[in-house]
Parts: sequence; C-alpha cells; structure tokens
Amino acid sequence: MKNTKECLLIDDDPADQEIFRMALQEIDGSIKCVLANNGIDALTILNPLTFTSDFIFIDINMPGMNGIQCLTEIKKPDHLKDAKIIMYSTPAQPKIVELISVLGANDFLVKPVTLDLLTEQLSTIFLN
Amino acid sequence: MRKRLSLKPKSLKEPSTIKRSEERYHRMIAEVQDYAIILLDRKGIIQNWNKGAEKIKQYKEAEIVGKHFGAFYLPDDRKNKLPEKLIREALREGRAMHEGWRMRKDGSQFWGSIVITALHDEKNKVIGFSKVTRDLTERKIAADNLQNYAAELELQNKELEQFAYVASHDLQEPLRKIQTFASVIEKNMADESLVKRYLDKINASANRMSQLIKSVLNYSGLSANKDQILETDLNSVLEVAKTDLELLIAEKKATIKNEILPTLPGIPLQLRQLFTNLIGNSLKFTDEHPTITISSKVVKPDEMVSKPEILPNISYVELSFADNGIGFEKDYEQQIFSIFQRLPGKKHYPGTGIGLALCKKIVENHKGFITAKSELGKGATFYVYLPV
Repeated sequence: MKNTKECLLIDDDPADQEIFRMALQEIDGSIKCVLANNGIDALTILNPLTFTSDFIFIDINMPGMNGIQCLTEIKKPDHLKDAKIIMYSTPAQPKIVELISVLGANDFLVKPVTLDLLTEQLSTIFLN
Repeated sequence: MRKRLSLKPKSLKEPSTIKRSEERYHRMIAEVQDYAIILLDRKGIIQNWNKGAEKIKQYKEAEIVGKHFGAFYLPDDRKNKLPEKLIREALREGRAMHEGWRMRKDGSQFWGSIVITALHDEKNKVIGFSKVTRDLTERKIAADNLQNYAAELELQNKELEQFAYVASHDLQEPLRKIQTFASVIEKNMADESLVKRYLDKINASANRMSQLIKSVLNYSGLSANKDQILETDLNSVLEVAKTDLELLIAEKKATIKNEILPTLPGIPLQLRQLFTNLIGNSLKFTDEHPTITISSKVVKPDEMVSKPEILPNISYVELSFADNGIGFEKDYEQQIFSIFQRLPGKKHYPGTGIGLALCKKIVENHKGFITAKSELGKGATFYVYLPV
C-alpha cells in the first residue's frame, strides 16, 4: 500500500507548473509531482509499466494537443480507465465543462488567483 | 392589314364621339412613359406599343409589333416556357402577375413587374391580353444591397463575438499570473531573492499584457474603408517594410530576394503591415542566415494553392513569401492564422501570436485570401492572393 501520494501535471506553462509545485509543498512536502509539458510527453509517462500517479491534472489551453484531446487519449488504454483525472484550467464555458465530464474527467479545477486558494483546493483533493 | 383590337366604350354614343373617345384612350396609353402598356393577341403576339414600352425595353414600334412577347424574357426563362405559363395563368385566373429579370433590346437586363390581363368579348371569349410592365430595377438593386449589407453585418458581428471571447480569454492569463505571483510574494516577504524573482515575473506578465492589448487594438482598427484604396506599387511597400525591419535584418544577417512586384489597388498602410508581418515572421522563425524570397505572378483560380471553395472567376496576383526557417507541421496550415494562435514548443520565440491573424484580416480587407505551405524543419511559404 503506497503511502506517498503522486500526481502528474500536464501543463505547457512553466509559471503554472511552479505555482502548482509550491502549493503541493504547502500541503505535504512528500507529495511527488511529475510534470509534462504537453500531451505527447504525458502519454509516454503514462506507460503502463511505470504509471503510479494517484491524480492526473490536465491544463485545457495548450498549443498543439489541447487538454480535451489529451483527456480523450488518456481515457483510451485499459490501465488508465480508472485513473482520477482533474481538468485544471482558467474558467471555461459551461458546454466545455459538460464535455469534459462526458469524456470521463472526474473533476474540473479552476486555476485560482492566489496560492492559498490553490493550496486549499488541492488539499481537499489529496487528503480526501 | 392587321386587325386592331379596340376597347369598346360601355355606352352607345354618336360615331364621332366614339371615335374621339377611342382616340383619347389610345393617346392616353400611347403617351404613358413609366409603364409599358401593350396589347397581345391570344397567342401572345404583340399588337401595339407605347412610349413606356419603348423606354423600358428599347424596341421601337416597327421593330417589335408582330413578334412574340417572349422576346423580352431571358433565354433560361424561355427554355422553361415561362411566357407560356403566364399566358395560361391569365387564361385560367383572369390575370397573371410576375416579377423577374427581363431583357432589353441591347441584351441588358431590367427587373420588371408584370401584369398580364385577359381581355374578353361580349360572349366572354378571350380575345387577347393586356400586358403592363413596370421597371423596378433600382428598387430591386437597393433591396439586394440591403440584404447583402445585413448579411455582412451579421458575419462581422459573429467575428467580433468570437474575437472578443478569444481576446479577453487570452488577456486573462497574464493577469491571473500577476495575482498569483503577488500572493506568493505576500507569503514570503522575508525571502528577498524570492520577492525579487517574483517581482520580475510580475513585470514580465504585465509587459506581455500590454503587448497583447496593443496588438488587439491594432487588429480591431483594421477596417476596409473604400475611400482608402489607391493604386499601390508593391515594390515601394517592400522597401518600406525592409526599412521597418532593418535592425532585425542586420542582426540576423538576413538576405531578402525579390522579383519586380506589380502595382495594384490597395490600402498602402495595411499592405505595408502585411509585408512587415510576413517578412518579420519569417526572420523570427529562422535560426541561421535567413533567406526570404518574394515572387509574384498572375494566376487564375485553378492555379492556386489551397483556394477557398467559393471564388469569383477573376485573375489574382499571387505573392509568395518563402523562407528557410524552422517551418511547421502540415496539420497547422490553417490554424496558424487564428488569432493568438502560437505553435507548440515555440514559446521561446517572442511574439503575441497575432501577426498572422493580422495578415489574414488585411488580405481579406482587400477581398483576397492567404494560405501557407510548410513542413517541419523545411521552411515555410506564404501565398497571398489579391484581386488584380
């Protein structure tokens, strides 16, 4: 039984990656966070032999393969069918939120404006 | 001797009075200028002519009396037997009304409003038809223009909506970052080096927002005002663009080759922006010794690269801008012209992602279009098509 939590963040923006890491530090220094800059890299990381993430966070607005396409790809392989996927993004239109739910994402997290808000939201996710 | 159909007065009068009444009626009809009022026999053969008919359809009386009224109809309408259909309707219903394009003697068209009325004798047998035509071409053109204008407005509104959505969305990103960075600083006030680092990040985000806003203003200010169109020599446009970019050209040790370019109608300031953006783009995305080749030729639609489906069959000038830069994947050939669209992995190349959207708008203002062809690592060529 694994004690340390792990997560994967798929986001092309280095500033957002850094902020995410900082928030995780605030919650629990032992949480491991793997970063992927885009969907293609992420799919390599999500290789069945090495995949151990508890949560996958996907940014919606990425150039190239966007978050929605990424979500669709991740939901395909068997070993990822039950993965907990959380879309992480700036506020989106209702129909997008509906779409990601239909495509199998477990939750939608709006990128908060302060570090504290992000820490709060992530605690709820990790410590539940 | 042709038998003339006459309008019988209802009451019996003296023969001379009858003749005078008849004459009055004939004169009345003959002199009306705004309506063509003519008489047709049962088969549709023209029996007489009036001033209005001559004015509207251009035939003189001697040229047209004795011919079938189908002469005024367009070839397609005649093929589809429209004149015969209208006669049958008049026979059946008493009259037939129609509006449509008709032909004058010289082949030019007018929009006619027509009423064909069946005429009867005392035994209620149809003896012929009266045909009254009004030329409503001006009104038709005005109505069509109004419809086109409304359609254009609707399209522009949709574009504006989309533009506003994308612009505000993309502007919110750096703003959110500024707020987040500020909150990080708040929590780490004692850590001087962190505070300094994050203040720098805040500045960078603020600058980026400012850049984006300027480019948005620039883009939205690009209208296609007909008054601004002048005969523009593209060679001078190119020279000005090269001057605009001289620092970058020197820095990158770039070479710009070009053929003699044509002169065509356009908005000089916008064409300058078009050239500057395309050349600047190519310079930016070429790492070493950029070479940009600009050529032009006149083409017809079937010689074009990726032309849109609906295109008027006129000649265009094709301006091609070819570079030896990093290129991009074939899949992005359409996407790159979307506003704020930037290619993956290109974050270390500066820019707002609006340059190509700007180019597209400028070209569309000139009623042309722009396409691109590229392969990753093999440079890119941009094709600008402008009506000649």
